[in-house]
Amino acid sequence: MKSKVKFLLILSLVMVFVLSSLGVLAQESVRVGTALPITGGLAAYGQDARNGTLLAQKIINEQGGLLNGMELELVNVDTQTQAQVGVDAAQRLVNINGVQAMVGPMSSGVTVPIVESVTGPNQVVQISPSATTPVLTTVEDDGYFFRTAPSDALQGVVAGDFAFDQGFESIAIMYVNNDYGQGLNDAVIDQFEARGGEVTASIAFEADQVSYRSELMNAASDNPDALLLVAYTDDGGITIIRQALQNGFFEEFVFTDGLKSPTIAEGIEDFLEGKYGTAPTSLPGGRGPETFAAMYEEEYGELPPLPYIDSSFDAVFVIALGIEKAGTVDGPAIRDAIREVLDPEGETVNIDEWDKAKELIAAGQTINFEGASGPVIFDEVGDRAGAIGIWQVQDGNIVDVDVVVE
Amino acid sequence: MVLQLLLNGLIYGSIIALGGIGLTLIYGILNFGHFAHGDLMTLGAYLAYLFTVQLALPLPFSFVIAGLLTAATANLLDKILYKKLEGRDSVTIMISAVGAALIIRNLILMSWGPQLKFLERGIEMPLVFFDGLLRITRTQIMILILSVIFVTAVHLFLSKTKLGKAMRAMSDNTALAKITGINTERVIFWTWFMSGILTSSAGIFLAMDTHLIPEMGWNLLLPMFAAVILGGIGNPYGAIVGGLAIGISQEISTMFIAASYKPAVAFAIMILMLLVKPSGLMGKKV
Repeated sequence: MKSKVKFLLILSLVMVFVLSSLGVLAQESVRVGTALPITGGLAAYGQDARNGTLLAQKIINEQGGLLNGMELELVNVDTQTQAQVGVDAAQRLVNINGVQAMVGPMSSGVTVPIVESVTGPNQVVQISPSATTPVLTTVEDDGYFFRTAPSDALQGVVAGDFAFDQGFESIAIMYVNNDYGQGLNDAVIDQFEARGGEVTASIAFEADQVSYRSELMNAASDNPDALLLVAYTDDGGITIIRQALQNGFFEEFVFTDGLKSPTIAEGIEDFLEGKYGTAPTSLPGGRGPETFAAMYEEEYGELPPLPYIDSSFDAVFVIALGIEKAGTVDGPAIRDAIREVLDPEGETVNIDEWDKAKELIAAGQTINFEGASGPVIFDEVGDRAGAIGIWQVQDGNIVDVDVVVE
Repeated sequence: MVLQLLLNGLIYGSIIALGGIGLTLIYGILNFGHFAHGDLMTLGAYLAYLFTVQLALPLPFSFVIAGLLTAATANLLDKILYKKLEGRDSVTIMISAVGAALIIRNLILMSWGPQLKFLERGIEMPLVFFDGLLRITRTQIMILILSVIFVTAVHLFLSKTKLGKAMRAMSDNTALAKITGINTERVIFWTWFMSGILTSSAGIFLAMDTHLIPEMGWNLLLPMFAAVILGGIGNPYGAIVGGLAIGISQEISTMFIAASYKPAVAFAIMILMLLVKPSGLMGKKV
């Protein structure tokens, strides 16, 4: 008898554990995971993006929380901008913290394996604020993956066009060796060559190397007019720019979104003055960007000129909309609810109007969410309709100069 | 092009060699792979950053202070960690070294943050030789000269001083060295001290030539081990030759294969060496 009692005791403990992780037992908070890099190559973006998600959490909780007054609780895990670490972290979110929806990660190279091995199979909704590779358009995700950043299929076209319109007849491309780099590289080559330009070299590089001189030497060997660099700032990008200048390999550059940070020009302002880059940006429309900048400034100080802080905010907001619409914290229900509730023709909701959004959902109406990064519109595969911005280095700062709409 | 690659390899190789000397001596004398060696290198570089950039002290002074502090840290690690585990299975000690590596790296991360740092804000334009075939910066020339000085000093120390000879004797055969009356405590202390200075210098050279990042030393650990194995574990001269060989072959390899496979070259060499002559180029036995 005694062993049976023990067994039942353990069984009940296990049941409590399982049920609570499934969210069946009454919870005071709704947990949503965020997997943002606090260290590694994208750390410079991850910390501010995390602020963006926390800001959304704050707005939602201040305006009554979700599902009848429960608090939204964000749990962050660090992906270290590495695929293996990111997959482990996402697994932790899903299996231990029991989240049914998550935001992140930032880099495409980490996002693809997480979609394929964690969120897809476990039916967990995932919204990346910044994974831009075209690969994610066609990945097998059963509809669970969304992104609030536009695909690089568009950025590649814009970057290719832009480089050609700058008067560069030949370019060399160096790209970080992952899904993000590969995807953007292919898109740029297609467009640049379609316009009649010549890509003299397309070289993949490994992140975190101490020296890129050999790669640069190969890239410069046919004397192209400029270097188009697809990289992140801290795990190779800045080093490549400095070594390219230092060793006289390149003087002209075209940058992409991973380099849109004033740190690239630190100490070498004179060399980079007037250079251009591309980065996904807000669709015009709505008062989201201004409201967001003001809210951010109040909470954390001036909004840094980095991409994806706004789209991180939007990712959390969209998940909250989905949960509220679904009326339950359950992956498949949230997935369907996001598609149902977002509608460009619906009632407009601004980023500081969570209470209004709740009323609309309660009344069964659809919502046109004018997010911090512009109107959030997903196509059928969960890709964001977006625009590509052109930015320029001016006096060591990053200045947005133009927007190209799809 | 070959000339330039050779030069790049030589610089990279000297950095690996300087780190490798300490690594191989520790392996020889204490009989375990010191996995925290790379992070000691990072520590040295960040200390130099602290003194030169944050406190605006002259570089030579920072160089020396950073070296001494790194050496002190190495000895501290030995005293509070490795010595306590003496006599245990070497796997235990090696795993504790990985732990020490994580602690050092994360302390650095906490203190200085994850962003790239530079010892010099601007960039330095190179001297150009042979019509652009060879470009070398003054910093790189200095790194090469200082590396030669360091290696010569290590050689003189190991071959001419009593302590140095004792070090080599212990590295060759610890038990025998103890019997002959060598003060092992003292030798171990100075081994850590010397390794600390050398690895800190390697870190600072690397930072001068490229940049600082909390993972810089850890990323260099595997090439350093490859150099140590290539040269024969426990043999400091082997580590120097091994380091240069790894550095140069990594750079030269980019003429034939895609540069993104560069890090794999070190491993390919290491595996080949283990298959063909496991004792290393200058080793005796395994």
